[in-house]
Amino acid sequence: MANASKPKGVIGILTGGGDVPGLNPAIRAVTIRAIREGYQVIGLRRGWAGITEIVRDKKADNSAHYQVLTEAVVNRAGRTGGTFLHTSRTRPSHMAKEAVPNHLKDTYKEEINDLTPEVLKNLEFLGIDYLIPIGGDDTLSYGVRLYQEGMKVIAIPKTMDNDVPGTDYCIGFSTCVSRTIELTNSLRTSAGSHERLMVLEVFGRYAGFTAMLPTMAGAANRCVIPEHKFDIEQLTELMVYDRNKNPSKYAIVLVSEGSMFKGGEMIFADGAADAYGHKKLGGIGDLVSSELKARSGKYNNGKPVNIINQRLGYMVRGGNPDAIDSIVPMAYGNLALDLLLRGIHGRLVVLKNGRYDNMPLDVIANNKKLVDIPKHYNTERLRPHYKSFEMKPLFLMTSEME
Amino acid sequence: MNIGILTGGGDVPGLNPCIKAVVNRAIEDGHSILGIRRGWGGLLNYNPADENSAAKWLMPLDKQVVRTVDRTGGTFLHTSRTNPGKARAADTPEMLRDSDWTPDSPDITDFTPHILENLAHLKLDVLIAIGGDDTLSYAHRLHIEGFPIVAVPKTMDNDVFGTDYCIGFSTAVTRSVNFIRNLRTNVGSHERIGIIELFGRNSGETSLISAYLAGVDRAIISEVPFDPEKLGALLLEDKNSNPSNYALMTISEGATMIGGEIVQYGEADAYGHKKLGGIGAITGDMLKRVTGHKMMYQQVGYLMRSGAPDSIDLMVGFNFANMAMDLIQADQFGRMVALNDGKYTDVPANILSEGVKRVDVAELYDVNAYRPKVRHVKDKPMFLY
Repeated sequence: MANASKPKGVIGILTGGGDVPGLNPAIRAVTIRAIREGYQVIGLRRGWAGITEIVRDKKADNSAHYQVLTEAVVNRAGRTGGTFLHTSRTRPSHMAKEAVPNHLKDTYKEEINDLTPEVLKNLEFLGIDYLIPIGGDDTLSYGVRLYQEGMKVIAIPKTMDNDVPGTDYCIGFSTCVSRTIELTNSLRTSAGSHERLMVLEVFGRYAGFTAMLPTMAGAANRCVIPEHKFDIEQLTELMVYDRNKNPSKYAIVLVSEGSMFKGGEMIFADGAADAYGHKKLGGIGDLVSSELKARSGKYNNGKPVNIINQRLGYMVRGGNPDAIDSIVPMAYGNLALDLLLRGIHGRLVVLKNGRYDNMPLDVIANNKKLVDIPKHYNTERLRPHYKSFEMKPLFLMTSEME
Repeated sequence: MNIGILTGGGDVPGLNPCIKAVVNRAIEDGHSILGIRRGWGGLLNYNPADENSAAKWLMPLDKQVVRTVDRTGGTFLHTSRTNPGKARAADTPEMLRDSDWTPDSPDITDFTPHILENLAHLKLDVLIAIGGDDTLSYAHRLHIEGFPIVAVPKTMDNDVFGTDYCIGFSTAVTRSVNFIRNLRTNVGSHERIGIIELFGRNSGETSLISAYLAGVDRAIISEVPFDPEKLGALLLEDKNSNPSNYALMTISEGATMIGGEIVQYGEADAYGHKKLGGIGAITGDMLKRVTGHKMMYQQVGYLMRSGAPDSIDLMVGFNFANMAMDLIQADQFGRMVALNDGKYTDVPANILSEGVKRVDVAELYDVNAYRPKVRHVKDKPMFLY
């Protein structure tokens, strides 16, 4: 038995950035396949934080930073949402002074420190030969860095925003769209009972996919997205028109958290940026709500229309993965192992034009994935285009590289 | 008899099943039944002189109309917060603004005589009003004016005085518990302190019962102002003792910090109530400062009352409907159907104004540990108070 003897190699796996449903199934797929192929898998905890904070001393207690994964552990976790390895936005190449682990504070005293030498030594300390980071473009950009340093890295894309360049699909997006549709539809009874305009702010960072796909699926009348600065007057007119045409007298707009008024900028929830330089978005839904209410009377015989304003927020990525986010992580995990067994590294496993494939890892660093406005968004009607579906992949908006 | 029915105030799951059961029973007992649209707004705006008015404000009901409505939440008759006893100028219909109309007092007019005229014009013998204490208090006003009414209590907050249970509360708790369960994956994955803000107006019951059932570490309720320093210390203990290194708390939208005020925004409605909300975000900022840990803040908000009714709200919706019809058959008016001490019953409608229903803090809440404390369950009703 391969398991009983010395493993053929040791694989480190970690999850970084925001949690999504589908991470645990991916960890499960990698672990089970690897063990069957004769490899050992070590789960690195809290994104890049665990591997950065390890104390290289055989007697030190590093149980908070990593755990050896077994079939029993991943089988139980594999059905659930979130990530049982936990996650963080830690970026080892840009560690603020106060984030440097205590035992390294004497060595790294700058305001911003690059702890990559420590990370590489820690990987060696744990005997890790291969690294499989699962994350969005921030998390994976540090995977690129380690690959450039000589580490054998194979990356798996995840984000509920579906905005990792090079792949049509990121783990978590489908569950997020499913939840958004489900929650939006269940709120119709409230919007209808009160005959209001309903404004639902959804996560999505700088990409509009999380608002576009549910709208296309019929969950909303209109959507506004970060890729197109919208005219609030135009939105008000369309929304009141939709409401008054609806026999139940309500209308719904999905507002992507990164959306901007024409002439405006992105709205941030608070001032602090994370290690990747990103601030937390949020608040545009509140502004859209008050503007809609204030302007609605003009299109409704002088009577203002009341608003139901709700942020779907974390609730679209809570809970267990749907079917797609159980199947794709299984496939991505096995694709990563396929590459590893063939001795190929520095790749990102992807879905490209509807098929499983892989791309060079640095595709993440050199591109941006956003909604292609001329192709997919109707700027007159503030909603997606509904045409030319022939030969398009499942989730319609692909990631063609320029 | 000609029976009218309306729903007022916030929508909840369970209204439609209740309307359906009233309609089916009324038809079977040989009555006719008329739906009045948009709460008291329907009776205020209905204009017999305008031939288009009936289609907009009235809906004749029969078995076919209500056949499928019990599968959905909300109210297919729609609703409003209009109070005809204290109508604001903006709510006053055109037809009532003739040349000699002036408000009774600045911006407020009592249109009860007009409501009684409309009820007479529609030849209604009795009116079933489904609503919270605002909607039902106006029903009681009509009872005092001599018009027969039967009141059916609903609110997701379960805060109507005189009944242990209001339609909509169970679904709101069921939804909250489910959302809290789902949010654990986010809060746990990031090892944060999760703050979940729940609707409930000035009653803490949704926060208390949801926290109790979902096993949340701490629950802040409207009835008990809290000390953020103390709360932060408790949550840190919870987080450190959790193998997954996270902690969760619920907070009522109407909660206050010691020495603080209720956080509300927007304009007041016709009953003088403003929207609450935002205390969770403020608490989050405060706790972040106190604990030095990151927070995850989510308002469950309207999602608590979204979607189809659960079994309890079907059960109580149907049963309240039948009780309302029993009262009408027996010519018993001015009553509110209720659940008291675990049994279906009815009480005088004026009971609404005789007290305020709030969480029994001494019996159900630990004011030092900021969490539910349920010890003596024997002889309590199903929802504990």
